[in-house]
Parts: sequence; C-alpha cells; structure tokens
Amino acid sequence: MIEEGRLVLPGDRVAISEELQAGEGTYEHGGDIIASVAGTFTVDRKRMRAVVEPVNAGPLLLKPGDIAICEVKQITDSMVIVNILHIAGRKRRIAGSNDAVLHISNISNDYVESTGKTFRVGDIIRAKIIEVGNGIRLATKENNLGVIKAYCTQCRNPLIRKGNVLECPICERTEERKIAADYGEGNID
Amino acid sequence: MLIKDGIRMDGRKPDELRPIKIEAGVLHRAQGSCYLEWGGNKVMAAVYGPREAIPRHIQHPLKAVINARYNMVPFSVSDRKRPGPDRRSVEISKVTSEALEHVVFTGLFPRTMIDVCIEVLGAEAGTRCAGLTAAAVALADAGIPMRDLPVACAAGKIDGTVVLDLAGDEDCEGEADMPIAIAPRTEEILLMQMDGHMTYQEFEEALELALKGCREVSKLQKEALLRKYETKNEVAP
Repeated sequence: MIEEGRLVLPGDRVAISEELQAGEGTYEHGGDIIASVAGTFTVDRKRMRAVVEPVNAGPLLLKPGDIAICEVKQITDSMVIVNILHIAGRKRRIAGSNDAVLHISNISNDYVESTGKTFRVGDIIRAKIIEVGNGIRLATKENNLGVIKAYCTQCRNPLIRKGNVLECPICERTEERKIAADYGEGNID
Repeated sequence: MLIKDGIRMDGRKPDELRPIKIEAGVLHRAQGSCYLEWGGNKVMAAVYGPREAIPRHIQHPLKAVINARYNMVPFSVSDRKRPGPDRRSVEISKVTSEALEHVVFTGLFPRTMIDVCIEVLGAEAGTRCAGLTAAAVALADAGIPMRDLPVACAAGKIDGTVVLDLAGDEDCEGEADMPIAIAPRTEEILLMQMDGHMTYQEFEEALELALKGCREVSKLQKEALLRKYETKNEVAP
C-alpha cells in the first residue's frame, strides 16, 4: 500500500487486494487495487476500502437530493415536464438525459388545483431530484423550491412578485405560481 | 541516406525519441485538455462530456460511446491542407476512439457520449501517436475514470535499421512505420498499425523499441498531470 495523501493517476497501483477492497475512484485487477481517476489516495478504515478523492469533481451524475434548475417544457393534467439546465454548485453539464418530470403530487404541500396554476411553459424553476432510476423525478415541496423566474403568459415580460402572486409590469396581469422564497433574485447555486 | 554511423539525420540515435513537451489543462471551457509538442508535432486535445448522446440512435444502453475527432488544421503542413475530414483523418479518429474505449470505464455512463477533440496544429510524422497521447492526458484531466493512462509511440525501419519514433523525412523515405498504443501498466496493445514491410525479426525488434518509447512517453504524461495538480488547485469544471 502506498502512503495516504499521495497524488495518484489512473493506472497507478495503490494497494493489493489482501490489504484493502476497491472503493470510489479505484478498481481491482489481478489482485491489485488500481486508481481509476487522478486524485489523492485515502483509506476508508471503517470499511477497509481504498479510495481516491478526485482532484476535480469529474462527470456529473445526478443523485437524489441534488437541487436542479430547470425550464418548464410542457404541462399536462398530472405532470410538469422539464429540462434540467443546471445542477446547483456544479459547472459541468449532466452526463445523460436532462429530461425530468414533476408529478402534481410532488409540487406542493398545499392543495394543488391544477398544474397550470403552479407552473407555466417557459418558467425557470428550482426543484429537488427525488429519483433517478427510471427517469428523473423531481419535487418542489419546500419553501425555497418552485418558480425562480416566470414570464407573462400574454406578453412574455418577466413577472414581478407581489405577495403571493406574480404581476406583469406591462399588462398588469396577475398570475398564480408555486413561487420559491427567493423569486427573481437569480440564485442558481 | 537517412542514417549514417548509427546517427540519424536529426542527430538522434536509433532508439531515441524526439523532444516532447506536455501540458495538461490548457483550455478553460473544456472539461479536460492537453497541449503536446512532440518534435515538430503540435497537438491540442480537449474532452467534453460525458453528455447525452445525440442523435439518440447512437446511444448505447449500457455504456458511453467515445467520439474522438482527429483533425488537421489547414496550416499544420507546409502545403495547405484542405480543411475538413478526409479518408485519413476519419480512419485515425476511428482507431483512436477504439483505443480509448478500451481504457475508459464506459459502463459507468450509459447512453452518453464523450467527445475527444484532437486538433493537429503542426504536423511532422507521428501525429496519431501524439494525438492519442494528448487525448489520454485530457481524459485524465477531465476526471473520467480509466483503467490506465494510454500512451502511443511509433517505431519503424529506415535504411534497413529499426528505429524509434520516425521524424518527417524518415517517415516519407523510410521502409516501414508502425505506430502502437498501449495501456502502460499491463502493456496491453490498444492500437497497432503498420505502413511498409518488415521481416518478423524486425517486427519484434520494432515492437520492443516502440514499447520502450511508450514507457518513456508515459512518464512524461504523468509528470505533466502531477505538475498541474501539485502547483495549482484551480481545475476545469
């Protein structure tokens, strides 16, 4: 086993399989534990695994709990279909499909009369990923989740928050949404 | 006359490489990148992805596809090269993709595509080796899990002598050129091509020489990556 804290590169042997099991950033081949990414070698002593902490975060794989910034693409009676544009705190683009769905039951803790009263096509929303296995599923059941930017359905002007509703400064329409606590502030991370 | 008293036209011994310079992480908008100079070759490699593979029919349900694109810029050779893919660059793109596919853990990223762009800015024999070597560094810089850091080097025959790493005139006038790419830890061969003729003994000698060259280049690749990560903490996204 090499000393802990050493910088290793893909293909470097870090240990042998009698010493440790292969953990994150490593693989086993012919009795050797080998690094698969560039990073710092550490040992997970609890589970006796060799781990390579990558020097950069690497490909962006989605996992439940990630906060996603999405654009609403389509609205049906029971679903809101979105495109994930960005994952909070990451700069890289998503490895895999960016299509996701938000079911009406996961929109809010309050009663949702119809999906159209919570989101409209073109809205930018912040949502939490709750499942990634068979298609990506989202939820917006928290205060800071929901619409972060919306456009007037009549004139496409950005809407301004007025209490619990959004108002269009041009045509003075008011619209209902599931509004995030920081609506209009432009926070995406 | 390409070789005289055991010294080649550019002053190298038969088993000597041209000077090589490798720098990792040179492009800010790529996930991983590398600039490499190998004699008169100047190569830039960039890695983008893994990303959703489009059009959808090229997606593989179980693994990522590697899309290497080897391209020579018009000013890379002394006569202007007509821009765009031609038969030669399509072939090199294909063999490079296939070599890289055997080291990247593609199974971790199903339905995605990893783009590897190799731009040859200056060419002087052995660009496919230079391109693959640079692509390997760029992939490691992008944090993409790999079995090993692949490396490539050529050997060939000039004036009846088996030599390492053919330079410009040696490639044109020589009798054979054989680029190989290996995974250096196990020395598995990822790519092997040959242009010209060699006897079986010469082939074995050339293979041994090319492997030796690969080992040397591999060291330089690793130094380049370590240099980047040890000096600055700022990394590409």
